[in-house]
This record gives sequence, C-alpha cells and structure tokens, in this order.
Amino acid sequence: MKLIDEYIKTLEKELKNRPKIQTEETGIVSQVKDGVVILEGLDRVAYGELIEFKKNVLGYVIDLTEDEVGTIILGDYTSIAAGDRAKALGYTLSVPVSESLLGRVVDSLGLPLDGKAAIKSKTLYPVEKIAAGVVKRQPVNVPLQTGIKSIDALIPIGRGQRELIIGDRGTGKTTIAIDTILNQRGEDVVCIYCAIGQKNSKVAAIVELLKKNGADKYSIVVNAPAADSVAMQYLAPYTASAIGEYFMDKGQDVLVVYDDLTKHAWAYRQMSLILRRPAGREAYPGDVFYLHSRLLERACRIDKKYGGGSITALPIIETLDGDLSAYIPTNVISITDGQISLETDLFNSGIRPAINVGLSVSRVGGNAQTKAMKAVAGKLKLDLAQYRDLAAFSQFESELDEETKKFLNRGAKVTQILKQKKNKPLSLAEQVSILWAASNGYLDKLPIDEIEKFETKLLETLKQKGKKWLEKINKNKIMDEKDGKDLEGIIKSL
Amino acid sequence: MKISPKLKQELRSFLTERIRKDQNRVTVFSADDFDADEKRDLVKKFSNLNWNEANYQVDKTVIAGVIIKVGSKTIDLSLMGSLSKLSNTLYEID
Repeated sequence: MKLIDEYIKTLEKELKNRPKIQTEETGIVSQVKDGVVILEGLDRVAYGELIEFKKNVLGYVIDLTEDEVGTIILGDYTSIAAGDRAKALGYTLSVPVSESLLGRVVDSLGLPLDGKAAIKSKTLYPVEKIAAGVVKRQPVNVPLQTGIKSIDALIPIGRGQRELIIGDRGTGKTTIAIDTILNQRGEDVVCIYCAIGQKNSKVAAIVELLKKNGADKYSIVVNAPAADSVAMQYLAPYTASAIGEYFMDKGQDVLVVYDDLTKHAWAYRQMSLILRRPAGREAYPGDVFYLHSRLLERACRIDKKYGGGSITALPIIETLDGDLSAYIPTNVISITDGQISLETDLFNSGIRPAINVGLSVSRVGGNAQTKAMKAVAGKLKLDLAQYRDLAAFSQFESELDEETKKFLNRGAKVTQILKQKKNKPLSLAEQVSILWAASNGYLDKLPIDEIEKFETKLLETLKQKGKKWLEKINKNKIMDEKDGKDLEGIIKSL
Repeated sequence: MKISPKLKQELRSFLTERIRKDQNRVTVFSADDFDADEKRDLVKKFSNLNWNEANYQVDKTVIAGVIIKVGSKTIDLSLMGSLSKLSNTLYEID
C-alpha cells in the first residue's frame, strides 16, 4: 500500500506542475522525390535546420521558397509518404566527435559503419561552419611529408595547405593520398579519408590497407558510398571537415582527403535539379563554386595564440580524357593552393607516380619545405626543367654536343629516380640521400635499368651503416657540408 | 493583355492580407465537441491568441486533450501527442 501512496503523491505533484506548453513548428509532406522531400507549412523554419519525420527519420532544410520547404532526407526516405506530419527540431545538423573516432569507419552522420560499438562523445560539431577568419590564421610554414620523393622535392605540401590531386581514372590519385596517410605514422597527424560516391569494395580495401600498415590508429574513414542517397554523399565532406575541426581545435594537425569532389559535385547537381534550381553550365547549379570553396576554405593553419592546429586538405578531382579545363576541375584548381597533375601516358610508360612535373605546382608549400630538402631540390628542379626543354632533341642524340648530352643523361636519371613503388613512403633522410646522389652526378654513369638496384642498395646500406646519419637528418631537417661528405663516403663505398 | 500595375498592386495586397489573416487563424482539434464553458476556459488560458473566427474540429485520433494550430505553429496538448512522445523515448532508450 505504501508504494501506491507514493505513486499517488508523485502523480499529484506532477499534476500540480501544469503541463509545459511547447509550441512546435509543423508541416505536411506534399511531395517525395529521390532523396528530397517538399513540405508545406513550416513557416518559421531556418536554412540548415533539422526536420523530424515519423520513425525518427531526419531531414535537412536546404531550400526555402515562398510557400514550400525543400529538405534532403538523411537515411531512408522510402518510409515517408505524402500527407505525413513533420516537425522542426530547431537546431542544425551536428555530428558527435571524440577521440574514440580514431580507427573507425563512420557515415555522413557520424554513425558507425564498421559494426563496432556506437561512438561515445559529449561534444557535437556543426556540419556546416564558416571557416576561420584572417585574424586567426597563420601562414603555412611547417611541411607535411607525403613520403613521395617527387612531391616532397618538387611540389612540397605544407600543413594547412589545400593541394588538389587531379587526373584521369586509374592514374593513381587515391594511391598518392593513401601513401601520404601511411607516411604520417609517428608524426602526430590525424588523418581523415572521406570517400564520396566510391565503390564499397574500394573503401573496404583502403580500410584493410590502413589496418595492415598500422595507420588505423590515427585515421578515420568517412564513407558515403555510391549506394548511399545523394544527400549523404553531399554531406560527407562537410562531416569529415567537422571531425577535422574538432582535432584542430585541440591543437592537433589534421590531414583530410576528399575522394573525390567530382562525385560530390554530381551529387549536388542531382539534388539541385530535383529541387528545380536553375541549371547552369553542364547542368550544375549556380552555387557549385561556393559548394567547394566553402568546404576547402575550412582547411587552415590556426595561429598559436588561438591554439595552433591545422587542417591540410587533399581534394581529388577526376578528369575525363585529361581535360583540365572542364567546369569542376577549373573551379577547384582556382580554389586550391596548387595541384598535382597525373597523366595516363606517364602512368602507362611506367613513370609512377605519374606526376606531370610541368603542370603541377604548389603555391605555398615552398615556404614549408625543410632546409635539407631545399638544398637538394633546387638543383633537381633545374635539371628537370632543362631536360624538358631538350627532351624533344633526344632522338638526334648522335648530332648533339657534349653539354646537351650531359643534360639529357642527367634528366633521364632524375626522372628514373623519382619513380616510387606504391605504399612505400620514404622518410625525409632517405629521400634526401637518393636525390642528393642524383643531383650530384653519382648516377650519371649508371645504365637506366640499374638505378632501381642502386636505390635499394643505398637505402639498405644507410639502414645498416648510416643509421646515425638518417636519424640526424630526420631530426634536424638540415643537411650541412659535413653531412654531404658523410653521405658521399657511403655512396662511394657501394 | 496588359494589366495595370495599380491593379496588380491591389491584388497583391489583398492576397497578402488574406494570407496573413489565415496564418493567424486558430484551429482547435479535439476528440469531442466543446461546450461553451470549455471554450471559455480555453480562450482564457491562451488569451494571447486571436480567437476571432476560431475553428473547432473533431478528430478522434486526438484521444483526449487538444491540439491548437496557428498557422504552422502547433501546440500539442493531446494524449496522442504525449503517447507518441513516450513511444519515441522508449525506442531511443533501446
């Protein structure tokens, strides 16, 4: 009886507290299209607000017209029928962020896709956020080592930079990005790989590769595969950016790979056409430039006064038939701080990574290059530039003077030395040693097919005899005359 | 055919006026008809709303209590609403 008395007491108490009167913004579903739902009502809803349909299906307001509200559905839209009630939740889309995201595979809403436990977090970060302003920023001056010789020497990338990787399908774009992630082991860089509209099999292979190389401890995969609705594909890069911002705000350096923004633009085009927005060039909507500029602008290097930290972005764009002047490629080229251009012809002729050194630039990375690398890269660049100028004459080799022949020989050797096997990133000292050997003429007398052998031998010898030398260069990032002499000794002993 | 701008303007203001009126109109859903006393209580309780031309509708799915709608704003004070909220909470705990 005592229990019942207690119940009655609580009930009385609750009844005394008059029920809270809450007003809700509600609307009625009028049209359901592919991943997009048009609602009537919801007069006081804001852009970017979340809408709740029945069964906990959420929508994201993306279009406000005079008397209708367009939302994209996050999740399964097939359960929504015309005439359903929907209510506004009054807050914008956010994702849960925490340290426990490391090593996980999540979708565009931050929900796990790897079958493991839910992500525990107390913090939510908004998916859409305005990038840090001028005051908070600091110029790029710390290098982000990719572990790829040709990039670190010729197109150096700095922390906080946005470097586009552009090329046809099957030219090794993803490989460059993944190698960069693999090279961040022990570098205290959080890596986020964001797959947009990719095959699930490809993403599974990448996750496996990261695990095999021990890179899963510091990486996060955000996956919106081709099978996901366009809404999820549209949101994925912003989610990846939000997760990156969490780690950046903690003062850490972050690397985000967006693979790839062509498919992201396709997803946005589909959404915009369904929403009946006016179509522009190639049927993309008018704000497709802003779509990518606001995303990539979120990559930055924060001043130490505001906590330090940085987000480096490696967006990937797939071209058709090497056409860099198509709509989306030119847009993203103009947004980013440089591009790495990959070519099918180079790839097929065995130059891998298939980087076209002439078309690739890094607009801010030069300031971030280490002194050791700068010392060898300057000469290397000159050698390659001269080689490119003269390469056309290489067929008439017998008629050329000695000087020209020397340039051609050097260029061919340097091109050879810049080849690198995939998933085998090299440390700074290793790169410097090989490039030093090439630019100081130690390869000039070797036949081309023995260069690879020389490289393996040099690296092995360095690992055995020159361990101190490697450690010193990796630590100080400077190569002085004495270091050069030491290296010369090792090379001569081969 | 050319429509004089003045006519257009008048039509526009007439329509916006109508829409504005419609937007502030109160609709009440309840499981049963109200009697005069109940109506008076309701009006007293929500004195900030505009009760002229209020529209009373019977909807059995409400079960008990009332749902008041003003434009797209909804005040859900029905048993149905509380139950569906409860079911949502239960599912979320799972």
